[in-house]
Amino acid sequence: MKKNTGFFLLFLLLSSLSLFASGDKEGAGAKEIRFAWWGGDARHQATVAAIDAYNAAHPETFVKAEYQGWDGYYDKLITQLAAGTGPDVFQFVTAFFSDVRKNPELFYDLRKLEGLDLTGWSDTTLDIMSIDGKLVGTPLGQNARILVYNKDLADKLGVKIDGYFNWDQFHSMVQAAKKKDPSVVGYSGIMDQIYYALMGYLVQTSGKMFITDDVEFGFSERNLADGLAMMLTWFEDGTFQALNKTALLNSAWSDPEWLNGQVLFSETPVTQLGQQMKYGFKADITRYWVKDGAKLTGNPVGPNMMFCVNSQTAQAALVASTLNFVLTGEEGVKAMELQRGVPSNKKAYDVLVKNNMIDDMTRKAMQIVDDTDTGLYSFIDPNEIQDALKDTIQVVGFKDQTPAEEAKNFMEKGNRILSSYK
Amino acid sequence: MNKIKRKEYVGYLYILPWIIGFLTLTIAPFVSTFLFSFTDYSVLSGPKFTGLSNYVTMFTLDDLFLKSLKVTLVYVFFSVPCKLVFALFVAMILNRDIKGIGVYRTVYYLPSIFGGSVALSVLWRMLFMGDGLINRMLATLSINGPDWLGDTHYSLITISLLQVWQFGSSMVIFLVGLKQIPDYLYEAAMIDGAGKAKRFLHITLPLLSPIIFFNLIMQTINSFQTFTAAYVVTSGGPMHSTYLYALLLYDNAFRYFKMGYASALAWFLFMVLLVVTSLLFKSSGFWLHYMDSEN
Repeated sequence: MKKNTGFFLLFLLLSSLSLFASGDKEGAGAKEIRFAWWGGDARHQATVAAIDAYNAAHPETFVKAEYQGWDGYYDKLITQLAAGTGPDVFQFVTAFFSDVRKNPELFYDLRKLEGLDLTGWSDTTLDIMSIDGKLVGTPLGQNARILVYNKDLADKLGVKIDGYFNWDQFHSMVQAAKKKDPSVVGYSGIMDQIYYALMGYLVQTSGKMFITDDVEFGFSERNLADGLAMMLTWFEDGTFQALNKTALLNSAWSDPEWLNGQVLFSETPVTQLGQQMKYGFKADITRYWVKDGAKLTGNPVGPNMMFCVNSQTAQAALVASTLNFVLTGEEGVKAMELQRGVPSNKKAYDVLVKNNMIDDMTRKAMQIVDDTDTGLYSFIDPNEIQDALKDTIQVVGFKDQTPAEEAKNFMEKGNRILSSYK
Repeated sequence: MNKIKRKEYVGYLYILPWIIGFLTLTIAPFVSTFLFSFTDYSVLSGPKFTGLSNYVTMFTLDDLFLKSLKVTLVYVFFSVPCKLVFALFVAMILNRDIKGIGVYRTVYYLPSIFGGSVALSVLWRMLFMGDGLINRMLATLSINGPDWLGDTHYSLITISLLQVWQFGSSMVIFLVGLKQIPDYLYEAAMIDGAGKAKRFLHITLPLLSPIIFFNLIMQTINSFQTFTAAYVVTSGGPMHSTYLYALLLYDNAFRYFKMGYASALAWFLFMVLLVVTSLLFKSSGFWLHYMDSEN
């Protein structure tokens, strides 16, 4: 009896282990790929619809959708790629390049992906998606950071926003508005937004990229100290929203003062324009303020999002066919809508124009993108640098250190971090 | 002899799934993180041996290391005693024989069912935001509440309160301990004229000390490893005022992909826990009482 019990337990164990082993083998041999991306509900619905349309038209193959929100996407993806279990196709963004530039072997060279249609993109656009000459992704929507403003509030306070203004003019405009209503705040103080504003200041005053091709800061300690001093003044006089009110917020969408119509300006990447404009007040867009005579704006213009292909994919032909369908095919492009911005691919753009799918606000945003410099980043700011500069902004904003002291601290720490990326 | 061996074999077979899990999910990572802690390892590229450099960096170059360690120590030394005192207080109330006591016990235990969940942290954030429920309630009493999470003076306390609020498991264990204290001891003390305070100090506390010791050890270890609350509620801010050690470890491992350095951080935390636990065990000789002990 006991002997039987032992064998029974052993049988149970082996059975359960065999279940684990066979978990992913269903349909082995069938042509199947995994397609992963991050996004919100609208992007999920659009992409799933495009993939469903592809699957319906190609019943002999199967594209499996794997989607989630932004949080945790990158960690999971990198872990999967490192473990050799990554999806065949995955959404990526140039901001991640600093982490993977030493590992281009993770990506399929798309110029060598047979059957993939790259003719809708210019060589300049494709170069943005390249690491050491290897094309690692198909460019998606045109992007840039643009200002969004509360038009109802601006009209009420008599603030005229004609589209082009420098730092001083922006400051004067806000202060004039505050004279009429002291409770008004000029610019939403979400940390990401303040970070990009400071980055713009540093690039415009130094005339060099934030991080240069040599993986060094393009600005000096003096530039940073001056920028921080100006920001501190702006925090104090209400040009920027106070940091303690936004310390816990990730976006203007969750900023009560912006949503309640007390803040004049916020900002958004063009690719998120559709989500950003849904407020209880009339909003409009305009170009970021820029220093007069600046050689570069520091605004990351161009497509920054892409679809990459796992170098270990066993279904290269299916991947190429799927990407062609969703990126340039009429049915796929229509299903994908503008969920990743206005396509940088001319064929896709023509499909959207033909089907009247580009609204006036989006056209205006595209005009702003065209008017903004193309100071593209060859080296993207890694998370660690972003965190360090955001810490610096907080330390100065909360008056824990002076701008000069904190600029010195940042340069020491930042240079140490950058040295590990060389 | 054969029968005994066969019995052992069946026993091991019963626990084989656990043994496999323990070896692959506990021992293997335990050993590998120790080895990785001496390397520069980015996950995407193979590890490169760098000797003690990660440990040297920790103490000489990483200003966030000492900051997060300090924040964590304050968090632990505030939240653990508060939680234990509160849990004991509620346990003593729920130790009475009153009608519907089972319902009360269940209700008080509810917060702990959620554990350190994301949902609970989001709830906490909504409650304590600048214009959250707490400040709105205070406003009805004409009290201008502070910025609980946005002000560096209050943020860590607010996060700690979330830990204190999840007192249910400690409370249940205290309740079990209280039930085991014989009534005749209290009766004898009452006859001798001891009041409530004396009975608590001279009977309840000494006889409950093994339970207090157990809860203290478990909650201390648990608190040192707290992650979800700080990550979801404040992301470690503002100004790193809630930047708990587990958050520093997470950032280095999964945002900066410095797995070697993160492993070193993990091993340092392990050593800290070892020291703190050892000190607690050493100190227990002075205040721990067992009912069946001759001393």
